[in-house]
Amino acid sequence: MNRVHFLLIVLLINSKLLLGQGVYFKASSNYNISASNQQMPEYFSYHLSVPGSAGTSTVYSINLNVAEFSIASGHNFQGTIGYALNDFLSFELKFSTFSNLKKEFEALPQLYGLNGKTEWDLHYYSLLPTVLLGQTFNKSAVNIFVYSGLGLSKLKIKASLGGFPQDKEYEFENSNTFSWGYGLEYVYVFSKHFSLFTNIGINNTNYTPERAELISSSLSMNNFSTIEKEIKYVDKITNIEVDYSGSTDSDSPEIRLKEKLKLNSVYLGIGFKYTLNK
Amino acid sequence: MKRLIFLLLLNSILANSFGQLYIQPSVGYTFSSHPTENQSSLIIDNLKSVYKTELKFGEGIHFGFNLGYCFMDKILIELNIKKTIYAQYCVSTEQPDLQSLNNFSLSGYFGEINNESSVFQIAPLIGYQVQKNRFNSYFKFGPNFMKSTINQTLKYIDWELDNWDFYPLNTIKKYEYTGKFHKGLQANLGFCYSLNQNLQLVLDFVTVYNNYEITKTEIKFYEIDGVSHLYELENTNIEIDSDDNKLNHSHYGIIIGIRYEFDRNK
Repeated sequence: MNRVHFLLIVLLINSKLLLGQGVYFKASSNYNISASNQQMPEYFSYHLSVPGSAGTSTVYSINLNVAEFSIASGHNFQGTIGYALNDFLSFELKFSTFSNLKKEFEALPQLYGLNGKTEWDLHYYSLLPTVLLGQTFNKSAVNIFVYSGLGLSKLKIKASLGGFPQDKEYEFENSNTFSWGYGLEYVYVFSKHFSLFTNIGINNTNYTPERAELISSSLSMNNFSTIEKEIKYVDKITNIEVDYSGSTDSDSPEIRLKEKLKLNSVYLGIGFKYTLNK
Repeated sequence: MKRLIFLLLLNSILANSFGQLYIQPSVGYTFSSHPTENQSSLIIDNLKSVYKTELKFGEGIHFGFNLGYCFMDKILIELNIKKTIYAQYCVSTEQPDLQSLNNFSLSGYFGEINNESSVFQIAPLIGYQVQKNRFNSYFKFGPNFMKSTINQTLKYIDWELDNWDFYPLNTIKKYEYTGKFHKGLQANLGFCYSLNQNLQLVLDFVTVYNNYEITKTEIKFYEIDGVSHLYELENTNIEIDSDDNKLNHSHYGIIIGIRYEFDRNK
């Protein structure tokens, strides 16, 4: 057993020394600016129950639709481990996080309809394998990079209507996020180990939720049935049983078609690079 | 005089910049990244189905031409022109026969949509390329100016309710959507392989973001059961809602081209 441990340690030291020839770490902060709006996904319908006389109540459907919708603007932090095969070709694995900056959207005015407001809070964490093709000069280098990868997203949407105390907040189950993009990077070498870099690029991220749950409401949560609290998003809806009002079983989640949230942005970033050995 | 000085200055820069003028004809296919989605719902005998259709603007085969200048084998300044040569497709949602149904409800559009669009794009781009032997790769970026004309033909059954009986009216409507030049963004990632001193084979990945603004919508054709009803319309121009007048033409795709560099021997 001791011999195995010894061999493993020798192997680890060896591989570290070998890898050390081209291994580097990077940390950067990027600012994403939305490049395109999208059709606002209708992840849920917002109904407002207004009490009337003699114990009756009227249910109104609230318009939440926004024509110019995008939550692609935001901050993005990246931590990277990279390996330079030579001056031309490098590989990186980026850990990337994102949070959207524009969160509130007021619905378009609509005749005979009440207009609501939604608040979108999105965070995603991705692992992005990246290929860099570069050219090195005296104290600087220019790289063209392309990446794609997967991650996990956390989305919360709050819907409200000014003056009516019936706010609702939905949390969306963690779902896969697919990102891809490309860009240009300029690196300036300060010392043997430290460099500063700046980059410009485009990023495209798609997120398709599969489930959502009502997590808070200004009304008591006990008032809601399962169909009002849970939503399941599916690829197809074919011949599902409904009652006279068009609703599915109240003890099961509401069924809706899947819709994609698209984040298209142009980003500018700045960061530093630490090279192990040169 | 100023123009002459500018031309002389430009000529002097070009002559001393060790650059190459190049042209690049290309052809490629792009996919819509933001299709417009519509949902239609149908309930028959308490069984509900929901159908989704996607209208894809900016998708199709394009022919392009680039005129560019490469400074010091690194910096690219380019004018990229693209024109759609084929962008035709059909989407449909099966139409229910309401005459044979007793217990039903429906919402949304049921029928066929034939879509044909012609997109013209101009993009002044600036970029950087890195080189290794016969291979180089580049990143280019700049504004995208787009002009689009969309012809949409809708074929559907309009049901007339008379004495609690439904009568089918086979309807065909043609719409034309047009707009002015609309600004967006374009980014290209490309790889080139030198075939000889002047010729390069180019593989270009293009991404365009353009949420195109429609300024005019016109009904071009309106027929019910084979009889034209266009003359009955007071105005064939449809008023456009200024808050909701965008058709997203954003797209991405692959373009293949041949780049010819002039005066490469210098």
